[in-house]
Amino acid sequence: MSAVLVKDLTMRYRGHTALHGVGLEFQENTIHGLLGRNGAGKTTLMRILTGQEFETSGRVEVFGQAPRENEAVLRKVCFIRESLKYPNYYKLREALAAASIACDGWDAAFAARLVRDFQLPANRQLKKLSRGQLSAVGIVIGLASRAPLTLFDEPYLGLDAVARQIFYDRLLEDFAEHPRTVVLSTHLIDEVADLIEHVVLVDGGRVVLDADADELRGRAVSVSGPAEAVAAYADGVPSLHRSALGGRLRVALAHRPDGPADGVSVEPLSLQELIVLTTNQGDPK
Amino acid sequence: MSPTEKALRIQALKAKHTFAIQWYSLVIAIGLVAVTFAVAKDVPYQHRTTGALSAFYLSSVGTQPWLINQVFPFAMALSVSRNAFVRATMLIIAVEALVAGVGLTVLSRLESATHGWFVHMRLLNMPYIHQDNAFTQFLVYGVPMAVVSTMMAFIAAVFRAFGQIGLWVFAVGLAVVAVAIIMVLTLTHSADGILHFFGSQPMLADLALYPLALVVLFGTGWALLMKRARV
Amino acid sequence: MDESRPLFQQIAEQIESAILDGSLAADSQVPSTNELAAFHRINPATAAKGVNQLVIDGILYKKRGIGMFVATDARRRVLDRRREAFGRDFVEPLLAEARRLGLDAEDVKNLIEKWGEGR
Repeated sequence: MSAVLVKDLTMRYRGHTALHGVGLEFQENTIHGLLGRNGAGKTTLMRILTGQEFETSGRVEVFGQAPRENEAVLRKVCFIRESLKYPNYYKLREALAAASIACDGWDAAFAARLVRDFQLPANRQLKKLSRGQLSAVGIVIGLASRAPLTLFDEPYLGLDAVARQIFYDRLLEDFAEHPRTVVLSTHLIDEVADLIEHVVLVDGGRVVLDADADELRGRAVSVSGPAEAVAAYADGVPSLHRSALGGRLRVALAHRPDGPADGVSVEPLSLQELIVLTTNQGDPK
Repeated sequence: MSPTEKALRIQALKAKHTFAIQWYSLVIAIGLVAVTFAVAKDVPYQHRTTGALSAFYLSSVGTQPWLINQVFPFAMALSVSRNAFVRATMLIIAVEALVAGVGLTVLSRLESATHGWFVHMRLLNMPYIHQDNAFTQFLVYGVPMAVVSTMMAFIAAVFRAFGQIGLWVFAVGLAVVAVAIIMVLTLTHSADGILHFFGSQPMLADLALYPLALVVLFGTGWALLMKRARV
Repeated sequence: MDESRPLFQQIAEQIESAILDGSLAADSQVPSTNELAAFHRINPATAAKGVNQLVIDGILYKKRGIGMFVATDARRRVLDRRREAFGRDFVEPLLAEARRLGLDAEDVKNLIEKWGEGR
């Protein structure tokens, strides 16, 4: 079953279009990676999915219903935004108390463990925490909410590598025990590549790639060698990128060609490389 | 737990900020004024009437902006719907007004009973708002509380929806309307008539009925703005 | 993990290697998918896919409600498959590079003998 179903979704703000006819599906109980450059439309998409923004046109279904002001749907959703703002005067325990009120699946013991993992001060005003600590608070809330649909939008601003690894480890552990639908928006592709099962790549408000993460791995290849041999080998396969040096040519191909690799060297591309090459590298509009 | 109940509990989580600030300032005001008159013994009793009650209403102006601009975005991240948040705020405003009406009525009776907190001061039980009937007294104290809350909720929602420019347009618009009304009244020489009208109305209408119309006006505007609020 | 190949394949290969070197004996229990996922820091579904691949290949078998176990003839099967793949995975690239360097099959044989001495 799909947790999220989007068809032909368009979001227009005054003067610019953030999403152009986006279509995608997030299967239930899966960790999805929503990848793309800053400004690609990831946040807008997630805000629409959580009813925070209203789409211009198109169909949006979360657990089979339109999310807009739909309490039956919203009670299953938790959305941790980049730089989530906490109310003035709130301390950690009030933020967690609010989350425990709002989230039906809240696990206080798990939250307490995460607070220890991230070494968060319980009695300091949230306003006084560092950027990284604030991000950790969001992660604690997102994970302990156990919401059937949990969205993390670049949740780790200011978090160091160790803390990010704690996040990934706890997410995987808890996901294994309590499967749910997680959407992780990020540009740290290499860090999350092993975590996500499904990849959606958004670029310039359009979905440019939508595939099983593990299938993508090693599907695209980089072919290099004498220009003629490379051209012959790569003939007929969509190329993502091409660069030449002297008589040598290197092309990135969407998949490995069928024919024999005579006189050329073929190397698989990582998910990160594939995504960088698939993304429009010009200036975003 | 129903969505409204969730929203209500989140809004009331910091009860001190949501409910108590005006009571703190009232207690401080009574204390300060009482001490002042206890020290300044030569002030005649008939001059011991103060407007310090306004501190009660003025100190509550921060509550709704805090709820709408600070708590609301966080609550939405936790998937509280706009409608649930609005319903909960309505309840809070109603409860606040109720508690203000009852509490201030009780305190004003206490003020009379203690001969003006033992120093013959009049802070709550002022001559022009005194009602013999406890219920009408309750309305006279409670309705202005609802006016302040809904007006501030409306202003905060304007800021939420339209930002700083929205506030600026609202303030200028309010000034223009006020000037226009004054000009019309002046040019038509009807200012005295208007004053006379309100003067001739029963105190209850001036202090409770017409303000209630403001509550409906601001409350409707606020609810409409919140329905479209983005965070 | 190697970023350029499907993770499920790598998981399957690691279990196969453990069977080959004897650390997973016949009829012993294989780590659960959640354990594999946590250990390798990968998605549990991907780990499950790797394990399921081995079930399809007859290398593991499932005991309902308990877990996955190594098939009695698993080592044999893995060995056969690896030997089959040896030519494609190791000999073919070896010969391709030899050709580029102007070495013929005889030269390669000699090299193998030379380097294999004493092993």
